[in-house]
Order: sequence, then structure tokens, then C-alpha cells
Amino acid sequence: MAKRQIPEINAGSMADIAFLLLIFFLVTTTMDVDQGISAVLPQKIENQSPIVIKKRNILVVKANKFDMLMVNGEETPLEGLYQKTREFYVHAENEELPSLITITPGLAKEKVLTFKSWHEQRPEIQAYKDSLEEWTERYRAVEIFGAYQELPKNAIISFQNDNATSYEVYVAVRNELERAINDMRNELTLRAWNIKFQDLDPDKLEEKEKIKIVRRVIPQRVAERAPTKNAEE
Amino acid sequence: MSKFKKDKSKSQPGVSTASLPDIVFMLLFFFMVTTTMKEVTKQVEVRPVKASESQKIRKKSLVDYIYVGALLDKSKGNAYAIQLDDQLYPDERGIQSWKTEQLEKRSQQERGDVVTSLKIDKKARMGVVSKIKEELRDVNALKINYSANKDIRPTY
Repeated sequence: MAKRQIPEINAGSMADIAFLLLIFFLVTTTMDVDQGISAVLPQKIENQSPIVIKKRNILVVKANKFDMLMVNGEETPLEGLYQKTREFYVHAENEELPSLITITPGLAKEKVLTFKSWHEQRPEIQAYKDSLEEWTERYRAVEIFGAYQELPKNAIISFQNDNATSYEVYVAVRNELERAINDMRNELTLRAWNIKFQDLDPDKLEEKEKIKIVRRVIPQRVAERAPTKNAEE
Repeated sequence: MSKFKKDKSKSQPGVSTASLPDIVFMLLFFFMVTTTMKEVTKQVEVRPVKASESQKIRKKSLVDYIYVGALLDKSKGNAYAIQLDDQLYPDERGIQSWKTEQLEKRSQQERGDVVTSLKIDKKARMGVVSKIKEELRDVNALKINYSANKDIRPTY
């Protein structure tokens, strides 16, 4: 009785058990991954006074109830939006488009030093602190990308749709705006670090810094206006 | 020549099924990794939109879903409805209380990062979408995601 042969466990039903599990997972799970276009809604502010922006500083995109697009007063097919968006960011001096600010190493350095001294004298003023931060980012950007042109601070893309515009067209417009901006950002990041903008990881400190700098150079400022009512147009 | 001739009288050995469990387990793991648990049973039809710039949501645990589409149960008519969890609403009025409830389930630090994923039928009108967005703004749930399938990049 010293050694008794233990009979082997029959593994014949293993396949059946595995099949059962497999079928359970097939039924309870779905394939579709969660992806989409992210956006941040503006915070609700009571009694906000309207902001006046010069006409040349706005890229007006409108979609009507027939799903047709108008960009800066011109009827434009969806295919044309990408080019117009890029033009808004990068263009030669033009009376109808925003006048870009050229950021040179000299200018950035000067501004950083100015705001630094102001901030040191009056550390309680938030505006000085913000400006110092902005210009530090610009200074870093100039170091990396060389002199560049930036949109003026109040330049925005304004998107207005109708209540009867289809969701499909709305997303298509947002997508085109996003695509134009992403492409411009990618051009910067590919040249400087040989990486796509989307591949920068915000969880890593160094790459988070890079994201901030790229966002400073190519800001994404899409504002949505309250939709037009169906009856108006 | 006859050297290679097989002995026909011998019966063929049966195919071994010993590796069958391994194969099935492999399949099982594949499905476990590539799929996700169903959040809810959809009661509305959502034909997804397509977008080339569509990106994966980073933290899946911090996502709430709003579905908008025509009712799947055609006996109830053809109207568009909003589905929150397993509840159907004819308009946007249920959203605020639902969203507040969802936010309260999460810890204080997480609340700012919660994304509301909008899964909306492509033929829906923007009127209803705008109303949903307004409701979300009212409860300060500002991060949203327009759910869209990945599309190839257009060349224009």
C-alpha cells in the first residue's frame, strides 16, 4: 500500500467546458470599440455678455437644414472645408484672414523676461502669471520649431448648425476641422520628434509638455453657436 | 514501385482530438481580449457615423452612454427616443437626473474626467443633439465624445 497509482483525470470533457465558456463570451460581449471625436462643452455662465470679434478673425462655418455648408459666406462643399481651415491658420497677409503674429526667438525671450520680472514684483496678479506661462511655452516652441506664425488670441472657428441639420453632416464637419488641425500638428511633431501628435502620451511628463507646446502653436479653437431654428431659414 | 504502395487493408487511425481544448481555449482568449462586455441591451437603432479622426477613449471605466435612435420595437412607432441605461425617454428631460446619479456613483476626483459618449443615429437631427448637450452643460458634465467608427482618411 506504499504507492497507489492515482488514476489520471479524464480530460475528454475539457473541450466541452472551453466551448461553453467561448459561447458565453460570444453572447455577452460586443466587438465595437469605443471611439469617436472628443469635445469639451463650454461651461455654463449666466448673463454672459457677447464677445465682439473682428470679422477677419472668425472662420464662420454654417450648416443649414439641407445639410449644405457655408464657409465665410461662401457655399462650400465638405471637401473644401479642410483647405479653408488650413488657410485660416497659415496664410500670407490678407485683409480677410486674421493677421498672424510672428514669433521670433528674440521676441519670445524679451516677453518671457518682461513677464518674469512683472510676475516677481506682483505675484498675486493672475494675468501676469498666465502671460509668463504662455510666453515660456512660445519660447520653448521657437527653440524647437524655429520662428513661426501664430493666430491672434481672439481668432476662432465658429460653427453653427441648424436644428434640422443631420447628425451625420455635423460630425463630418467636426471631423474635417479636427483633421485639418491634426494634420498641422502632426507636421510639427513629425518634423521635430518624428512622432504623430496623437501618439504623444499625456501620462508621461515630458510628452505632456510637448503636447502643450504644440497646442500653443496650433490652437484648436472651435466655438459652437446656438443652432438656428428650423423656421428661420 | 510497389515499395511505396500502401497497405489498404490497414484501417486509418482516427484524428487525435487531444489538441481540441487548446484550440478552443485559444479562440476563447482571443474573444476575451478583443471584445468588451455589453453595457446595455440596445432598444434603439443606432447606425454609427464615420469619422477619420475618430480616436479611442482612454479610460473605459469613466464613460457613460447615451443612445439616440429610432425604436427597435416597431410596434411602438417610428419615433426617435433617447436611451439611458435600460430606460427609454421620448425627450431630453430625463438626462439631468440620470447624469447626476451617474456622477454620484464616482469618486470626487474622477468626476471631472467622466466622458459622456453620445451614440447617435446618423440620420438624427441636430435639434435633439443640441438639447442633450444643453442638459449635460446644466449638470456640468462637459466632456463628451461623439461616438464614430474609424474611417479611412479622405484625400481632399
